[in-house]
Amino acid sequence: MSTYDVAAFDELDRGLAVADLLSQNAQLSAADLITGTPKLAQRFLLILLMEQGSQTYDPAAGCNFLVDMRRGLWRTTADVLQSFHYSLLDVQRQLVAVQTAADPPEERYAAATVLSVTLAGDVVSLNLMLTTQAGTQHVFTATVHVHAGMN
Amino acid sequence: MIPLSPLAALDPALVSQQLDLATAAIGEDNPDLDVSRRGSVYDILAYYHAVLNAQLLTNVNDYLDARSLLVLSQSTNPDLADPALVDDVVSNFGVTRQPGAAAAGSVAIVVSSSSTLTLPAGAQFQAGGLTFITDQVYTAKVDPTQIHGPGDRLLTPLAAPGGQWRFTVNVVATAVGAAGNLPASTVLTPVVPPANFVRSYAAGSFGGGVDTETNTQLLNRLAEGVACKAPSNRVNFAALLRNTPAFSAFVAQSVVGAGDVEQLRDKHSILPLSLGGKVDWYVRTQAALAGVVLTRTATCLSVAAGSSVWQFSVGRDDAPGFYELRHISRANADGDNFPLLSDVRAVDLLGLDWAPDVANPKEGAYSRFQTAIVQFTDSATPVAGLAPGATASYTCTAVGQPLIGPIQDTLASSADGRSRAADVLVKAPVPCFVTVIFTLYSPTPVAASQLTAMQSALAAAAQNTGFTGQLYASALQAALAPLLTQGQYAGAMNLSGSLRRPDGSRASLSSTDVLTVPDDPANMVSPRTVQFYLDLADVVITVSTVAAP
Repeated sequence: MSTYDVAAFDELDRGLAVADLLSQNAQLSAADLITGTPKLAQRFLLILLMEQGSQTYDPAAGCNFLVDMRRGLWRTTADVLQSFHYSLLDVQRQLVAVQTAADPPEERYAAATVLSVTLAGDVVSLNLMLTTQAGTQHVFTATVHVHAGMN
Repeated sequence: MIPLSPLAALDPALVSQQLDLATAAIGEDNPDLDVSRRGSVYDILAYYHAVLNAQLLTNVNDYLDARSLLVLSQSTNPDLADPALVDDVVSNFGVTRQPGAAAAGSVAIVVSSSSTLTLPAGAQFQAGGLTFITDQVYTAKVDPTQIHGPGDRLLTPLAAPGGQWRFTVNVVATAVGAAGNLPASTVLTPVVPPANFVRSYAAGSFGGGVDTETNTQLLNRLAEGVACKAPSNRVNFAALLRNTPAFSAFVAQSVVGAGDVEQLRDKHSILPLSLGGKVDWYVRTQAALAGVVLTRTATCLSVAAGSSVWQFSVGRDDAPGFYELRHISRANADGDNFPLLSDVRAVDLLGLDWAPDVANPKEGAYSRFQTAIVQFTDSATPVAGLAPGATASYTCTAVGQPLIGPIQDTLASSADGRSRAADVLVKAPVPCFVTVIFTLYSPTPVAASQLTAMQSALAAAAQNTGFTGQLYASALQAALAPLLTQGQYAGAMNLSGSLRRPDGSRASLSSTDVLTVPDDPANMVSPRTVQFYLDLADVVITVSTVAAP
């Protein structure tokens, strides 16, 4: 059954940005609703950007992607890629765990690929491509500001 | 203001329930919105709502659980109620919670050099999982003329081969609680050993450590808040103590007066009758035994081959109400433990404005009027040239309960404070020194810290039985159970007790089920007069490593 979600990401909100998440539905504003592949992409990002253990009563939620960043493990693009691929295992597990056969194929996860990683000052940008079980692909950019005091 | 429960310490089941409720409610109003984990509403909105609502419900429930005496009295476990709310309720009846206090004492430090050394304020010592810190800067010096301030301590030479010196510093526990009341001679380990360090130990018993009163204890003495604070019935006596700040932390008390068979002082008539008007007030002022280190000048009575017999006295003001003397040692030695030959008690009622009617030492035993003359054998002092009549300085530890003297002086003897209707004699309870031995079966080696925790738990259980006259092994097992980890089991407990009667004789008790105080009122021994004492060192745990099944 197809359901909608509330778009959670706005531009450059608290150091995190999904540049074109909403551009897929150009007629909608940030406060509007999303469904289909963007909805899956939002779920993907929510898990990727949630530090594992940050939800006291659901300590397994999230992954260690941003934990690695806080630990200062990101020095090169290779470090970011390594961290992403380690975290991708957790993200995939959590995405698949909540999927049901009744979900539309374009909201069911199949694969995620990093197209590029760029380091510019204290900004890390990952260009990601998400593939759904419907075969549709969705390209978006996750931007992380690496600076003291980031939360 | 009642503090909110920490967000990280909520009941997970309650949070989960609130999360289900929140997502169900949102989903019902928005059938097409994905409120499952696939959507963002679950993590960003519903989760935090559930946590905050669980916090709110927790605090509402805390209030409901402690809103009145009726609710508290019906509770199976009042300790779960919010302490601040319980404080508010009982304050309406003039009762306030007894705050905890940190134990304090003196640490003897033995060094191998007479060089001046300085110990900083806050220097840490550890014993039994507890940390104690020095209360100020201490400087130990060997020259007595350089001792000027309270921080200057004299390095006293010890009779040890190679040369050793001892000095003492005062320390205080970093945490409140009765667990800090260490027995004398307990080994304390410095976190940073001072120069030339050899060893350190408690110079006397630590005291003053009091646990913060629990809700259950607070509610149990609610009657004391309402009762008249005067020496009348048992509740009134207890209220009198509770209402006197210096004595309010007492653990248990028993009043033996008119009509009680253990009361001997009201039978002084030539007629075999109880005439009343006399009260023996047994007060356990703290759970653990306390020790007062006495330095006495002894006189040599006789000299034999390799040893000598000495005698000294203990006055009524030296250690009021003490039970027995331990660790008799030369003043300049460390580690002597000379055996007692005799311990003859008496009472000293001379020079008092008012004195209770005490006819013999048995009636005055463990009161502030008790005195003693003790003889012991010194097997360490060289006998060459030693003759009867020689004198020397010795130290010993008088073990007992603190505050017996001040309670007598303040509440029972003072001109303004004492009852005009009765003759009240304050006593430390008749002591029964308990030893507990058992085997701990464990699939893995047991850490010393766990054994110490077990010893503390058993001591606390044994020393808080009140005047019940019985110490059950099952009660000790119940105290031990929460400390056992997976695969650990405790064997049968062998309980033994040495009861020192007021006349100085001993009674031995032993059982694997229950230690029962004998009913011997002619010697003032009964459940109404006896208390159990269990030192940590007297909890003997043998660890048996067993293969995991």
